[in-house]
This record gives sequence, C-alpha cells and structure tokens, in this order.
Amino acid sequence: MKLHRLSDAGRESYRSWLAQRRLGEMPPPKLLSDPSVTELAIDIEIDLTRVFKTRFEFGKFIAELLAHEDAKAMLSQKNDGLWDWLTIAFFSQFGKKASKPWHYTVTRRGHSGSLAYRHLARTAFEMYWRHGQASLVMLHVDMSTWGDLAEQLTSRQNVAYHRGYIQAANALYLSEGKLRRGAASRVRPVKKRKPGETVGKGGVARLALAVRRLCRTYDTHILETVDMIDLLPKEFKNFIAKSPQAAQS
Amino acid sequence: MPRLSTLSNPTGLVDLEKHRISILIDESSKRLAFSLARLDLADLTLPPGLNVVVIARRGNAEERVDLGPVASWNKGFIHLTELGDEGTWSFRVLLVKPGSAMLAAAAENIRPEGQGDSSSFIALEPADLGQRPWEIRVLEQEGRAVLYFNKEIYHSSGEAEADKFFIGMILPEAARQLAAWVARIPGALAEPPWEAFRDWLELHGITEEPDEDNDDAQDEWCATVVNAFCERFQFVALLREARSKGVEE
Repeated sequence: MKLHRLSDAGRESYRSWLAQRRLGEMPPPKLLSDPSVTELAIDIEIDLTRVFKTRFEFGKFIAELLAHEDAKAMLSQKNDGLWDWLTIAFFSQFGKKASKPWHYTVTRRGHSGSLAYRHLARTAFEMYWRHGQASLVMLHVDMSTWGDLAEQLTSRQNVAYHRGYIQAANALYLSEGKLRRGAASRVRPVKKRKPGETVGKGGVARLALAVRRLCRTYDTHILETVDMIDLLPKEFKNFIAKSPQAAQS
Repeated sequence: MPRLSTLSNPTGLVDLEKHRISILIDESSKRLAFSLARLDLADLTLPPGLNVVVIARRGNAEERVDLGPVASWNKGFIHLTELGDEGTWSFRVLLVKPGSAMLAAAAENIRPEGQGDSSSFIALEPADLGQRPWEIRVLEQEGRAVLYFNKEIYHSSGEAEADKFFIGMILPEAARQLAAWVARIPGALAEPPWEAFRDWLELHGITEEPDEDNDDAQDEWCATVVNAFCERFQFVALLREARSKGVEE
C-alpha cells in the first residue's frame, strides 16, 4: 500500500474514536484507505505487515523509506495526517496500551505549548532522522511505550535538537541497548530527601537541566560529546565512570 | 575546563546589554526569517576575531545560525527552518571564537523589533481564540507566561493594557496560573530562565519554594504569590477608581 494521510475529516473521525476507544479495539478500517477520509500522501509503498521490536526500528524504517523526501516538510503541520495514518496502519503495535490521545494523533496545542513531540510514530522518525544511532536512548522501548526517558529527553526541543546532548545521553545511560540502573530516577524534593541521598542525581532529568545551564557559557550546539560530558557537574560521575565513550575524555 | 557555577563567572563571559542589539523578523512570506540589523560593541573589551552566532527561539524550539565575523556579520535576512509558527520570539546573540565552544559574550532574551522588549513575566499578546476571551500559556524556556487575549476584543496589547477592567480582573488569575505551574515543576525556579521571576518573588518576601508533593501547601504558596502581585499593582484600587469614573460618566 502507498503512504496515505488522513484528511481533516479523517483526523476528526480518528480523534473521536480515540476519545472513546477501549483497550484492544482497533481503529475503524475505513480510516486506512477510504477516499472520504484519506488521501495519497507520497507515492511510496509501505509494508504494513512489518513488526518492529522497538520504536527505534520503526523510526529507522520510516527514515529510510522517506530518505529522499524533505524531512522538515514531513514534520510540518501539513503532514500531521500522515503520522496519524501511520499510527493507524500499525495500531496493533502502537495501541497495545491505553495511552493519552496525543501519543496517537499529532496535537499541536496544549496548556503549555505543542504536544506534537509526544506522537509515537512522528517522534520516532524525527529523532532517528536528527540523531541516527544515538536516538536509541529514547527509542529503545517497544512500539506502544512513550516512557519517562523519552519525555525527559524530547520535551525541551531546544535541547532535544542538540546532537551532543543526545549523544551524551546515549553514552551515559545506555549499555548494550538497555537503560543503566538509575538513569530514569528523579531527585526527590528537598523536604523528602534524606541527608546524603543521591537518588536521581546524574539522571537523565538532570542532564537536560545541566545542558541548559551549560548553554549560558558554551555554544552547546557545537560541543562534541566528550567535551559535553567533560563539562558536566560532579553528580554525573557515576554514569561517566561506566561510559566507555566518556572515559576517553 | 572550569565548571559552571551560578555564583561566579569562571569563563569571564561578557554580558551584552539589550540596547546594543536590534533584530528584525519577517513573517510575511511562507518561510520565517530574521536579520541582526544592529550589534553595537562600542566600549566593550572583547578578544579579537570573534564570530557572531544567533540562537532563534520560538515556542519550545530553537535554531542556531552562524552569521560570520563580528567585523562583517551577515546583516541580510536569514531563513529559519526549524521553528514552528506558534509561540513568542526571542533570540540569543553569542560571540564566540572560531573553533571554540566557549562564549566570549552573550545577550539573552532579545525580543525582535516591534514586539516589545518587556521583561515582564506576564506578557500580553493578541491571538485568534474563537469565542474564548483569553488564554494563558507558560513559556518554560523563557521563564514567563503570555496572556493571549482575543484579537476580536482588542487589536493590540496597548489597547488591552489600557482597559483597567480587563487588567484588574484577569491578571490576578493569570498570576495564579503561572504560580501554580511553577509550584508543580520541581526545581523550576532554580533554572536560569526563571531568575527574573525568582528575583521578583524575593523582592516581595517570597523566599521559600513550594512543596511540589503537597497540594495544600502549593495552593497556599500560589495564594501568597497572587496576594503579593495584587498588592504590588493595587488592582482593587484600580478597579474601584475605574468603576467610580464609569458611574460619574
């Protein structure tokens, strides 16, 4: 089948279905190919029987499929219907959980800005396209999982686009395709923290903050991974010690 | 390399004042563009051979553009491809040595010409809101909120600001929503963009941070912030005066 996109009417119908769907239900079949709610997006064939172990595999597959297209145009509002259609096409994999609607339909307005980054299919493509192999750190999960790590790494686009930041996260928190222990932990509030407690220190949530602080003193967009790791505060030392790439610095 | 501290300036970063810079934006064509029209470095002691780098921000996305040497930077309009069409514009202007990531000088939160340079933490902007009179959005990256008012009611922020009833009735609620957002995000006030808000709170005697796990304590903290805000701007006196004038007329 060729790549389609949902029309405005199709997206409206899809959103209505998402609002009342129950776990295990599949989208109405007409949302996949009915001309009243879909249209041809790009003259490229896609194998809808593919099974992906992780969202990284999916992002890579779509990025390779769209290799000759303008990636930024693919991510523009005009193509929101394409990403929604892809979610429908692979809903048996994306929809194994009853997650919030914005994981299945591109949502550009929220109480604090766009939530488009939370789309399971679109962000898998975007992060692979931007960061290649390093995107594994946020896409190593199964197709239906968004995950706290992805939220922490992608919610702030001004750092999510930094190659050095994502590569540093990949080097610090991933080991043989799996997350290192404590990487996703959060620092507890001061009042609940015991003296000397280090839970969450050096974790991925703190990395975004550290990089944003580094932005005040360094042009972080051009920092190489080893240089960025070298500049991180002491709280990251345990993760740095376990990272072969960081050990080079 | 020296590590970053919020209490010191180990890299000798020079702070560029906002009045030295003028940035123009062009939103008239399909592609967004900006121009660094003026960069006045008179009377500053800076190392020779610096390059100008501009970080354009809109919403929660940003794009880095290298404009070349300080002596002859590119003053033409530069097209931006990473930014969306939603959100408030702001720019960082950085001076860096070629081949180095360390900043020699920086100007933060520069607003483009014609869009005000208010450092207020609640800005006013017109928006297309259908039948909704107003909406507030917190701009995490900028450490402030924007109160969008319906452009069918007021054409400009000046017009909205001149309406004492709008300002007096709406701004306290906007301040409460901003405070509630800050209260929910652990450590938000510790981040550099929120320095201005934190300073304002301290100036008004609010030195304790809210407990993000205790709803009652959060509500209480928000009420303290709103009280300080209303006290500062004397909203009741403002409204009483406006109302008495209306009765006299």
